Amino acid sequence: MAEQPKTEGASPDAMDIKRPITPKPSQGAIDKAAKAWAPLPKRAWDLDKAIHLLRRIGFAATPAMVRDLKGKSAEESVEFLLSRGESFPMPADVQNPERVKAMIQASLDEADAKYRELDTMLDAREAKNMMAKPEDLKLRRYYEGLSRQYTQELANYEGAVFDYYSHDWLNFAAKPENVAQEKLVMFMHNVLVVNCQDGVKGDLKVIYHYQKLLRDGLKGNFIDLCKKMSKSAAMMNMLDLTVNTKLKPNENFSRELMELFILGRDQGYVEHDIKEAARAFTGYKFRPGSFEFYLEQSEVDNTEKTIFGQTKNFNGDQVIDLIFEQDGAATHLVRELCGFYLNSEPIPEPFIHALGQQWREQGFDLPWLFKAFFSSGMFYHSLNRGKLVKSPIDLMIGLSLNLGVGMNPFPRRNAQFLRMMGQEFMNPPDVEGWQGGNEWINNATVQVRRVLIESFFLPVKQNVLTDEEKKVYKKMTYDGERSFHVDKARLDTFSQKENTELVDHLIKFFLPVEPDFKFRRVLISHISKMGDVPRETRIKQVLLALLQSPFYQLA
Amino acid sequence: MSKQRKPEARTRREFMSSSVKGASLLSMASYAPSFLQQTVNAQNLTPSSDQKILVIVQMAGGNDGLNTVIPFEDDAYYSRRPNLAQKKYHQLGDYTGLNLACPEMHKMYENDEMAVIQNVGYPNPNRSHFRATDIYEMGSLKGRTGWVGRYLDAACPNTASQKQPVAVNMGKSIPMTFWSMRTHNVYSKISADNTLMETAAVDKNMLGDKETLGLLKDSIQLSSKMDHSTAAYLSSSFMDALVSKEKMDAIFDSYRPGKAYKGGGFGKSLEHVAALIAKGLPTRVYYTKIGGFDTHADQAQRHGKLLAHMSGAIGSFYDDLKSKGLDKQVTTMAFSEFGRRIDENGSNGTDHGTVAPMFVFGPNVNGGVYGGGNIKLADCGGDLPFNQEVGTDFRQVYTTLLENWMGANSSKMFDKKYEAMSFI
Repeated sequence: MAEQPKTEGASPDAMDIKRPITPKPSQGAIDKAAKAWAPLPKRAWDLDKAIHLLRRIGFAATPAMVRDLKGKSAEESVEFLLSRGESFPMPADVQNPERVKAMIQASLDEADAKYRELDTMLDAREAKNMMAKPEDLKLRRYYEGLSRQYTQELANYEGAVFDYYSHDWLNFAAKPENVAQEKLVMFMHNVLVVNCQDGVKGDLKVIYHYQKLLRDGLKGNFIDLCKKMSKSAAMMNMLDLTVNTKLKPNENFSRELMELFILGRDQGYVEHDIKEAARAFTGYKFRPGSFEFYLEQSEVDNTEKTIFGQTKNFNGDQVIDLIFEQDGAATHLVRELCGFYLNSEPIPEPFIHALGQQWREQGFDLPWLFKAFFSSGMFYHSLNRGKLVKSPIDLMIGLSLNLGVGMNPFPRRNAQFLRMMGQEFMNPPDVEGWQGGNEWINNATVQVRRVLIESFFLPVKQNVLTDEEKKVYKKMTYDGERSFHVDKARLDTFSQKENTELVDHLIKFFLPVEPDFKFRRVLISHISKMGDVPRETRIKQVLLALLQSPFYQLA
Repeated sequence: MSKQRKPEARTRREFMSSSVKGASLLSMASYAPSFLQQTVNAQNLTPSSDQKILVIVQMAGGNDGLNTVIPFEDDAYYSRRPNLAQKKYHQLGDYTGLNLACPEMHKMYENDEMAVIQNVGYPNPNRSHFRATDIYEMGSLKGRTGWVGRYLDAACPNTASQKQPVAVNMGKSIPMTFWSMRTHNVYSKISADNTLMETAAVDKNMLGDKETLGLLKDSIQLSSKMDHSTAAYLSSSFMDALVSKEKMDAIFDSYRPGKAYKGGGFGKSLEHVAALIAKGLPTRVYYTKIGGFDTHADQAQRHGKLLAHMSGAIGSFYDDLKSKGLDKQVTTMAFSEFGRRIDENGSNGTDHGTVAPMFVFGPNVNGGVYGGGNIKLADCGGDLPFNQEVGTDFRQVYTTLLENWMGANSSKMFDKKYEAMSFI
């Protein structure tokens, strides 16, 4: 960190303070790198690149999605995908959490009753020295576990509502119309991070509104989005803006505004800037119920502040404008964008500056940035293929799309899988967000990923469902039309293809990089084997081996 | 609530450069399971003889504390439990005795290696197995993380990229005790066996079958040739996970304890823990469970048998560790989600109660009977009360273990800062 001014509260001349920043590459290097961001030439656009775009901008590429892009150029495809998204209405359960409570209670009562019934029956058998049937023991354990699950949900039913919200969103995001939009929402949420406090009532509406703010903000420029974000209840809660007052300024928000949201760590600001900026955001409040922003005048610091060497009675919005004038603002979000969508290893700085400079000239317009990014030659370059690790949400939605199978209809099951893989919906561990990349992968999460994949191949056991669960299941399957596991009908879409054609199809759509030719041969010969095991089973085995392989975890 | 970042949190760039360093070692060597790969092991947390290990034993079902730690001086104990009261016991203190089924535990007590903490619970105790267990596992009355999970988040930030697990559960899932905000390398025998999913109806030749595993291993071997660090890291993690189960099973199968373990199935799980400790795993926390304590009817024989198993297993465990010079590294804590009521019921059993004793074992323990003293049973209604004077909040026990044994700062892990006790 640079030297601090000697006296607290003195207004140092900005010229005397050295603000740390990573040195800018030479303009020559930047100009050279700019070529990489030029749009992909029309002649270079092909099926392979369309699949890459769909996989990266959303969660997976399917033949149907590829057909939607037929006849379009790279730029047209990107524009098409980015403009399709629908609006996401507030889930009924978030609007009315009491309804969820009633549903959970009903299920709990039923699970308890079934458990007691079995327990009594088994005790009676034991009393007569009769052997218990293993299925009965297993079933009793199951209802015991179910009862435990629902008891916990009831005690913490705001948490259960959260799982329902997560579930509704997952299904919304998995629709081909919404994949690109929602992935961008995930990206932006991982930059302007808020998380959910432990099931505090009312929080979910706040989180819903924040997600909507991000979704709507993607259509405008980043400066406006940051201003709106600073006045959202979710962010005000997250970074203590509601307790930031003239008498007791709180620097939490102004620090992250510079370090994590707009400029990047140690990119052109010092402690003094943070301290002074904090005072411009004093008096920020929101009304309970409507979450509408207002200024509590008695707490607002209406005196002069000196930030980045400029002295004025700045308010919050003006501070944000000022931060965007600093050099770091052009490159920070670009760096984040590349880390999220392009390559988990850092891209050389000249490329970052090249795109950033153009973005600043465009007034930090987000649609411009996304369009330029996704239709550039850089985005399709072979060095950037297969360099991302799928997040748990990427994996779950991607599996659903690749297999043509709906996601499990029981909210808590999906939520549990995501938690065990390390990504609770809208709830990263802290304001830095999820680091992604290798951090998603360790011994435990690998096991969970494999189990998740296997679960797409297992049908739901109807006879253990409670009445409440049966209702849910019936609704979600549209009375049997939609499937939640790879059943015969789903498998037919694969098994209809001839062996070599099938393996090539799977490799093309499922894997981000061409595997070793030996692997392709191994797969083809496996399906072709004659013997006791039917061809359909062999195809399932190949699907499982592909999906559970490290290749499939990459994007 | 403030969500300030911890000072050691890193930016994406810094994180990436360190993980790239780690993975590049892997990409230079052709794939081999990391347990066997010396160069990679050099990157890992090397287990040292100072490694402090905590073993957690969950006595599931609600252990009858009054018949385990017997208040032999209290007349009401005998009058309120005419059939179940234990008339003989191993003496612990002036007012307390240990159930006769626990000679091994008593021996440890005499060697100053066992602490008993009486009347452990929390305000307004819950009598539902599930809710009460969750409270003990979370170390909190509400939430989504476990107390060990929070410890891992605070004290072991980088385990996600380590090859070997930092916490191990001898069961089929990740216990709530281990649930954390960040991902950690935690091992347990996770399986797709969730009776919600139909497993009986599918082809026997399908999931987890030899052929799929073979194909999977082929793909991993081939993918390890991909020339960038993320892919290399992925391949080795995948192979590790696949091989982990095989490795773990191999470690268990090849382990030779000093003497055969007593204690049935629970003894077996402690033997497995000893096997992993002896192998030198850097694991800090182990979780085990002994079930069956929900003795609503015909308690006498069943409870005695369970206590005998538990005592025999723990005795064998520490004898075994001692014979290998590992006992000083290991402290074991046993808890139950609640105790049982004072009066026996009509079926010669007892019903769900409130507070219960906790036990801590190991050479580092300061032996003795802890807690605020003895409750006069004649003054009690149906239950032992929880109050601050004679009771101990279970979070205080956790705090003591975290601070005094694991060397962690527990001040942010519970709803408030609890004062550590002196049993370790």
